[in-house]
Amino acid sequence: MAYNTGSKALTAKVHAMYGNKLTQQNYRELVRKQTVSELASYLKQQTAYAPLLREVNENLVHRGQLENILKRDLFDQYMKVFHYIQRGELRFYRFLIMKMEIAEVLSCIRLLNAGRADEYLLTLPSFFAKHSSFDLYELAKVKNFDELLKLLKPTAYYEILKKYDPTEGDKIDIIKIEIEFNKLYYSKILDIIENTFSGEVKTQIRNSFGIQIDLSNITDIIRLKKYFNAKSEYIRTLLLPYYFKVNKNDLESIMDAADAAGAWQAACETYYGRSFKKQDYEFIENYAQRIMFQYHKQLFAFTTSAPVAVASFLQLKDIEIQNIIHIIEGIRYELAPAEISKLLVGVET
Amino acid sequence: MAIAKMKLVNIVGRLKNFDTVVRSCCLNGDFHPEQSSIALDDVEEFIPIEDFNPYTRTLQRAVDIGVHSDIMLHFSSFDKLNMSDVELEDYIEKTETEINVLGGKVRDLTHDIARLEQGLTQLSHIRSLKISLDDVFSCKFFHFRFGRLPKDSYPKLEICDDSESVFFFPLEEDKEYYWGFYVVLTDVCDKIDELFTSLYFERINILEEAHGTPDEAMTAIRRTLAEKNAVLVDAKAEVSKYWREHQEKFLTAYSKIKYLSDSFDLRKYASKCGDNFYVFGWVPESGAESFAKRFQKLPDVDCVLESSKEAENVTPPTHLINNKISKPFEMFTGMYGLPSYDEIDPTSFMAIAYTLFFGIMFGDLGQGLCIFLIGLFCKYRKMLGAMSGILVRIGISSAIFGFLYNSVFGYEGKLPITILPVHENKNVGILLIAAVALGVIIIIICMLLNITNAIRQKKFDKLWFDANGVAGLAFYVSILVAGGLLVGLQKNILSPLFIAFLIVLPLLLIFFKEPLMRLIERKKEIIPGSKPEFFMTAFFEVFEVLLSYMSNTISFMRVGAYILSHAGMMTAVFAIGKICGNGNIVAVIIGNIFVLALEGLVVGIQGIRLHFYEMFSRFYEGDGKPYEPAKIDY
Repeated sequence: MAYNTGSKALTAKVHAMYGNKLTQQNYRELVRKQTVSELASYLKQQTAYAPLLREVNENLVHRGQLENILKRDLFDQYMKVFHYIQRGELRFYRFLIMKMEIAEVLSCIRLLNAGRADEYLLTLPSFFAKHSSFDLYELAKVKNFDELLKLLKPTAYYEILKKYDPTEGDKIDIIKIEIEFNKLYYSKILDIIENTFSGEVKTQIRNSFGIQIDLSNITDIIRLKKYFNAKSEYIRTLLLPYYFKVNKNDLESIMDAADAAGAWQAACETYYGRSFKKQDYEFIENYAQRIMFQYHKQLFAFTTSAPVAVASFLQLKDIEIQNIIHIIEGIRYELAPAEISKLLVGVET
Repeated sequence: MAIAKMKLVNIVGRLKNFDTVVRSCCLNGDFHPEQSSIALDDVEEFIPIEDFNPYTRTLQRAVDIGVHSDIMLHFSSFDKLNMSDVELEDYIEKTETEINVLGGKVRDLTHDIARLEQGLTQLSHIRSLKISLDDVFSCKFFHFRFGRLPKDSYPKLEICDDSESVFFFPLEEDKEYYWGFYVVLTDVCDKIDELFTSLYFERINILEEAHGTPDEAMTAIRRTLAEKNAVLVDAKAEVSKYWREHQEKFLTAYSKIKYLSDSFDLRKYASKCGDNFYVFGWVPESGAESFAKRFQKLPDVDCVLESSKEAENVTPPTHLINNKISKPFEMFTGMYGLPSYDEIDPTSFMAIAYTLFFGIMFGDLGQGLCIFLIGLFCKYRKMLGAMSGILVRIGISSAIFGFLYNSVFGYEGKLPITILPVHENKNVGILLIAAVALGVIIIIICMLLNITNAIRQKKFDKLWFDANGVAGLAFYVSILVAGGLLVGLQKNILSPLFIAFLIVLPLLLIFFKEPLMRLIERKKEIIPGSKPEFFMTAFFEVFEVLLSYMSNTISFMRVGAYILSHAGMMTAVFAIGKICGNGNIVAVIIGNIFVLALEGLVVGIQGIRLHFYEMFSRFYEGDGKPYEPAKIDY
């Protein structure tokens, strides 16, 4: 279908945007900064974030503000894509908006559970407000679960939330809600991919999302075993029912392992095993991110299809922002540069 | 021309005389000191002198004063200065204190002015406020906070819980922020301040000096700024006045301290044994006797001269002495490396060859004279250093050859006679062959230079078995002569004897250079290591040697080629001139300037390349030690 290639201008544009990424040298300098101000100053003067940070006073900027600016930048770049797409592609490209909506609802629920609902307003991303399918500012006013339900009634999230209305005094079951939301998101997106693209492009985009699903499953199993000593039956209910490079049996054998270490061994036998460093599973999330990075970097380098390029680019950019946030946190916790470097993805040191 | 002969000087004396020795003999002269440990490493009684330099601190303070006050530190004669060491130290300290006082005033004023200017900028963002700031800040029940709020945060203000207590008034907006203020009741101000901080509000502190409305305040502050600037000018003038009065004396004191400090530092070259010191170094042979005489006046000090041959484990430094004509080319040879003490100094050779090459390749009377004049101009104005001298010489050479070629500013045939008709099409072949012939001669000269070096250095293998030694020379000349006779005169002299002795034998000598040398030196294994490996390596080396003979010779064809390209470029210039309107003189002038610059640069670089790659690599090692006589660098 015509949507497979998409607009050539869009592909070129995305590649140009990627060209502004942080270089190895940039990362090397950033991990050596001693304060958030120095980091902000460096970003402002030496990287492509300069125009974004021009008005910002690096001596006064707060890390939350900085993170907000970075996330806003990602979103702005994402919004540029919409100039180039046709109506038939719209459903696919809105995937990030849906993902962000889900993140906001979950954030609100977490704060409700903690009794700090009024803090949601502070982290609310204003730049996203006018793109979501419900009013984010209304979400900020929500004080309890009933109000939340009422607000989200017109949306697809309502049916899921309804099932988990907590009884008086109980916490909202955010774990189950998160799983259900993710299932909703992935089922929707995989369906859209099925109907919009074909052939090689379809396979590549499916794999892009598929790898996220696979890694999410593996990571969840190991985490649940490690921190909650969960049993297979319980874990099974929390997994995403989609299998790409790991099949159902593989996941079963990981789940059936006696403990986290055993599960890790089983995970190393799977397709992703070659990228895991066999010694420690402490860093499973880091490895998962690395796999994502490697896959999408390769995909991005060789593709001429706009939707593939966009999907990969957004992944890579997200990883870059995560890296910067890791560095900021590393600076605040006064970690040595070598320590911080270990946390970064896609950076050689 | 060439490398100055050096004599080794050994000085021994009583430690208490060390400073006198150093000061009267070793500074600002010809003495190149060496680390005494080199000569003494097997003599255990001698230990290096490691005294702490008492002048370092004072010197450092003096340098700091100079740097902070922007004074150019230079030598100022201190013969008339009559200060003891302690007096010098006190003087420097006094100067430091005085300068700090004056400088402090300037610093404080500058700081204050910067603060006021920043405050002025901040006020400019809120100037649309028409209320008096005094009223604002004297409120009992309200607090006013001025600053800027990110635009992202602004819509959140209406929604937050305390929205009824929050009053934010934007006064000015830019791309990312709203400048303005918010008002807060005193009893809830902590909570609201916290809220605004979480929304990334950046507070600015209004200057204490701001009174009235922002506009009025700005006017008043501007007046204050003007006054402070005037005071600053006065303060700076005071500093200048101080320096005008004291600079001379300060520089004299500085020079003396530097002299004392650096001469003390020479101790790092010396060793001591008990009560005595030992130091040695090099002096050019021409001045060696008079140098030694200086020590005769000093009691308890001895000076012994040795020749460089007697001092086996120390290499003498290389001091180039070239006559005026060759001197500018020292810059080029220096680029490759300084000649070793026992090598021939190639500077004179390069002077002749480079000038010749440039003249041949560039060959234009008018442009050559231009280069010559540019060189003279630069020399007069002391610009470009050695380069100006080179320009003068290559300019003359180009002019001469331009005269021979009958080429003036690209116009050919303007002169009555053409001595060397290089620009005629039928001569192209001859031209290129002549260029190659020139190359052959040059390469043979280089080989002879290498042989001479080998004789001087007494290196047997380099003399006989080297690719640029007798074997290589024999092979090269034989091939050329045989080939030349064959092609030119159809005469074949390639008899079996000829081939055996003049072609195969030299190649074998080159192939087996190392084993032969080991044989002669009566070493145990003639071919150390793996024999197949040796044969492989040697084979490729000989192959490389043969290839380089050929390529280096043909490389000289470029000398002829550049003559043609110069003519070609000028033809293009004239063609453009025609297009611009029948021999438009402006186009021709611009074209000439362009060709002069471009062709001049290209030919210059090609000349250097020929020298460094085709020529120097055959005989020049260039790992000499520079001659650095002890002197004080003020």
